[in-house]
Amino acid sequence: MKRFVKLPAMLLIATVASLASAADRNAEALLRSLASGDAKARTEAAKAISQLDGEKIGAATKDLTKALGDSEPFVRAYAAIALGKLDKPDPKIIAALAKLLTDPEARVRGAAVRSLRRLKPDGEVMLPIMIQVLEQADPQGASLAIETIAESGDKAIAALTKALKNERARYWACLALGEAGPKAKSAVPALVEALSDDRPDVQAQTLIALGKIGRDASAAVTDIVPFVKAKQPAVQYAAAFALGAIASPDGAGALKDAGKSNDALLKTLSVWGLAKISPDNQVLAKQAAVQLVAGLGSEDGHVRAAAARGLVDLKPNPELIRPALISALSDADPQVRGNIVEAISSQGAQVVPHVAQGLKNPSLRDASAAILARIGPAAKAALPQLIAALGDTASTEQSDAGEFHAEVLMAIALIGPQDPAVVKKCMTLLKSDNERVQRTATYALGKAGAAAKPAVGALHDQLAGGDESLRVVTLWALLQITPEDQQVVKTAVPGLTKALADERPLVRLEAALALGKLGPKAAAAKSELESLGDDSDEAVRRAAAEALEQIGR
Amino acid sequence: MKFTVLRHPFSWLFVLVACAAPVAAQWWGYPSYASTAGEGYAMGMAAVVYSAGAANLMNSAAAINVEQARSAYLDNQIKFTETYYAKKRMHQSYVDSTRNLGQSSQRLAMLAKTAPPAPLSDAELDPVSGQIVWPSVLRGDDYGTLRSKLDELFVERAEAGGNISLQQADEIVDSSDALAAELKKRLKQYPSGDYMRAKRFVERLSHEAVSL
Repeated sequence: MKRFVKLPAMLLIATVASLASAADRNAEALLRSLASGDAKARTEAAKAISQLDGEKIGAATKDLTKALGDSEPFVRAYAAIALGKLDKPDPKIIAALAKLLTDPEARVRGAAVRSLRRLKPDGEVMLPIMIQVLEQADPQGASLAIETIAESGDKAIAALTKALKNERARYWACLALGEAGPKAKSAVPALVEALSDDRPDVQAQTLIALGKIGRDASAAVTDIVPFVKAKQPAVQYAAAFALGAIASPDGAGALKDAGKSNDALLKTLSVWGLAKISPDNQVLAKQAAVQLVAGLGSEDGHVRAAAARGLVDLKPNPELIRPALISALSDADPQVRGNIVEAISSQGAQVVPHVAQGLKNPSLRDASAAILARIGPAAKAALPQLIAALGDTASTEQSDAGEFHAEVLMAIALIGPQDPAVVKKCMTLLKSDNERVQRTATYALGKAGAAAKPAVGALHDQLAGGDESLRVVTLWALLQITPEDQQVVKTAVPGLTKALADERPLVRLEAALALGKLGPKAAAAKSELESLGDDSDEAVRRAAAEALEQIGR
Repeated sequence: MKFTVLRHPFSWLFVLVACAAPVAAQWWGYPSYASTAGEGYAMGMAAVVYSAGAANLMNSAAAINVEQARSAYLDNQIKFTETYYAKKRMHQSYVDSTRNLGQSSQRLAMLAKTAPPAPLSDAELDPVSGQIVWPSVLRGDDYGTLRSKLDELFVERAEAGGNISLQQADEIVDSSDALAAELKKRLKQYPSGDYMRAKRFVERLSHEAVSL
C-alpha cells in the first residue's frame, strides 16, 4: 500500500489507466495488492495479473520486475509467468528472469524456464547471461541455457570454449560444443585440456564432443587413446566412439585392443570404428557387418542400438543383413527399433515386398507401415497390402488400432491415395475420435486431389470443430480437392488467418503458405501476415514475407 | 502416448528416449516427422554411447554410494541431457523440413501426423499452483476419484517446477487414460460438442505430463 502511494502520480495514472481497460479486473486494486504487506494478497494480485494478456501486463512491468524479488515464492513465480507474456521485453527483464533459474524454489525456477522459453530471447543479448547461468544453475536451468546458447550459432563457440575453464559449466559447455560439430574445431585444444577433469561424466562428455567434431579433431587422438582403458565403462565407450568418429589411423591400435574386451558394447564400437577408419578394406567391412548383425541379437539394448546404428552408418551388402534387420524390427526397445527402421528404409524399393508382409504381423505392422511411408512413392508395390491393412481393423475405438490406421494412411497418402476404396475409408475415418487419425485421413484426401471430391461435404463439416491443426489440414485438403471453388476460398481465408495466431510454429507456417498460394484472393489476411514479420520462428517469418509477395503488397 | 515405467530408480533414463518425440514436440512446439513405430527415435552413435554411459555411471554411482547430493545432481544432469538431445533432434527435423518452403507436402505430412494438442492455457491449468479448472462435463461425481488423483499429481508437478519423475508422469498419463475411458462410457449422456471438448481437455492434460 505504502509503496503504491509513493509512486510518481503521472506514472501511477498512466499505469492504472492502461490496466483499467481490462473490464474484468480492478487494475488499481491489483497494483495496490501487489505492493501489500500481506503475502496472500500479493500472491493473489500477481496471479490475477499473470492471467491478463501481454499488452495489459506491459503497464505493470516495473511492479512485476520488482515482484521477482519478493520474499514469497508464489509471488515471484506468478510475476515471472506474467513477464513471460510480454512482447519483446527489455533485456533487463530477461536478465531478471534468467536470475530466477538459480532460485532456491523449484516452483520459481519452473516459472522462469517457462517464461524464457516463451520469450525466446535474442541470442546475442542472452549469451553472456546464459554462460553465467551455466556456472550457477542446476541441470534444469543449465539445459535451458544450453538451448539458448546453441541458438546463437557460431558466435557461441568462443564463449563456450571460455566456459570450459569453469568447473561447473564444463560438462554443459562440452555438450553444446559437441552439438556444434565440426564448427567447433577451434575448441579442440581446450577440449583436450578439459580431459584432465577427473569426473567421469565430464570426461565422457568431452570425448563425445571431440568425436562429434570429427576429422578436425585428429590432433586430439593421442590424448584420447589412453581413455579407451579408463576405469569407467562410460569413458571407455566415449573414447572408442571418438576414435571411430575421428577415423584417424592413429586410433586403430587402441580400437583393436578394445575389440578384445569382454564388454559387448566396447567390442561393437571397436568394429564400427575400425571399419570407419579403413572404409576401403572389404575384409574389415564384412567382419564388421557380421559382428554388427550378431549384435542385433544381444540381450543388452545399448548393444542392439549401437549395432543397428553401425549398420546404418556402414551400409554393408543388403543381402547379408536384410533377414536380421527384418527380424529385429519387432525389438521392444524403441531406440533399437528406430535405428532398424532407418536401416531398412535406406535400402529403398528392394525391401518393399519383405516389409509389406509385416503389415499382417501385429508386432511388426506399425514399423512396417512407417518404413513404407519413409520409402514413399518407391513403395508403390505395397499399395494393395496397405489398402487391405486399412480394412483389417474394423474398429478405430482402440487407440492402438487408431495409431496403426494413422501410420497406414500416411504411407498411402505418400504413395498414392486416389483409389476410391481409400477415399471411402478415409471418409469413415474422419469421424474417428482420434485426432491423429482424423488429420491423416484428411491429409490423404487432400493428396488424392480431385479423386476425393465425394469427401468435400464431410470435410466442410469437420471445419466446425476440432483443433486448429486439424482445421488447417482440412482447409489445405479442400483447396487441393476443389481449388476452383470460390466458396472454399471464402471459407479458407478467415480460417487460415485465424491459424496465423496459433501457438505452434508449424500451424502458423502452413497457414501463411496456404494464404500465399491463394494470391490476391487472400488480401484480407495482409495485416495479420505483416504482424508475423517479427515472429520468433525464422521459417514462419520467411513464409509470411513470401505470402505477402504472392498476395501483392 | 503411453510411458512404460520400469521400477528402477533411474528407470526414466532407459525409457526417456521412448517418449522423446512427444516431449520434444511439446517443448519446442514443433511436431516431428516421426511415427509411433519409432522412426523418430532413431539415434546417432553418439547418443547411444551417451545413453549407455549414463546408465553405467548411475549404476556405478548407486553401487559405490557416492555422496547423495552428487548422485542426485548426476541423476538430474543425465535427465536434462537426454531431454536436450531429444529436443535438439526434433528441432532439427523441423528446421530441415522448412529449409525449402516450396516443398510443403512433407511439412503438411508432419502437421497431419504428429501435431501435439494445443497446450492448456494458464486459466485452464495454473502453471504455478498446478490447479486444474475442469470443464463442466468432468465436474460430475462419476469422475471424482480420478479428478482428485489428477489434481494431486498436478499440484506435485507445480511444486517441482515441472521437473517430475517418470513415475509421476506415467501416473498422469494413466489417470488421464482412465478418465478418458470413463468419459467414453458416458458418451451418449452429453451433447457431442461437450463430449469432444472434455475429451480434448483430457488429451491436453495428459500431454502436459511431458511438458514444463
